[in-house]
Amino acid sequence: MKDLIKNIKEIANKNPQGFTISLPTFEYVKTGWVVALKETQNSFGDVGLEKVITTALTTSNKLGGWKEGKDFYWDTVITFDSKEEAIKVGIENDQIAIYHIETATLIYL
Amino acid sequence: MTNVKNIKLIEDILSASQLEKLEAGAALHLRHSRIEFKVLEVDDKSITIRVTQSKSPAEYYLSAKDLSARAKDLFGAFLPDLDIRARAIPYSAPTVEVVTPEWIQAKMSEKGMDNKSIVEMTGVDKANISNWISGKRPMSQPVKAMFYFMLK
Repeated sequence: MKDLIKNIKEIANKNPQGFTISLPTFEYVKTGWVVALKETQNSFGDVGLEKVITTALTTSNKLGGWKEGKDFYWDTVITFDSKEEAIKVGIENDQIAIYHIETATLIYL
Repeated sequence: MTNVKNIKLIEDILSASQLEKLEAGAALHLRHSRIEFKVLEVDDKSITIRVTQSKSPAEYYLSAKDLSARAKDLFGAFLPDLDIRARAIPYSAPTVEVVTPEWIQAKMSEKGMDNKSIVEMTGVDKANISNWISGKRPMSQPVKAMFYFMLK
């Protein structure tokens, strides 16, 4: 866990505007409709990151973050090829919107 | 922190929940595509938005036309009665982005240079030079710039 946190924080510091990566490779997620999971909403700081990693490791293996003020906020995300599936899961997770990475398309839910 | 620059210009014409949704949408554009929005001016009939894309981890880049469309979609969702004008600034890759390990190897071969001569010219240690040239270590922007101006 310590190494995961260290590596993710390094990526976060390089990307304060936001990032999404896959575990265990730490590669940037570059495809699909992105949906954040409700259970990791409002996760910030080290405690939040640990929760997000734990959730990612038991679900999608994908997580990300962005800087807001002094803190980094984190979330576990799932990606889908299917827009319809992403919309369904986004609604189930009370998300405001979903996002398609390749086309920079935003859909409000 | 706001994700839409100059959002204060439209604070009086949108509700708190609309502003929150607009900001959330802009945050997703920023996080995944490095697309940023700035309200330039607004009046009773129109709103002008500057939309800019910078280097993105996902490496997908939109044309000016598509960036304008994203600005119109984002703001149009909340300001359906205004004419939305977008000034798009697409991402333009810096010249040094041509620098890859393959580019360096080809240029070194062209100029008859080896790793040792680069070490001598730059004073950078041999291990770093070797790892950058072989692709074992990713190059930062300053390192790309160093190779570009040395080998172009």
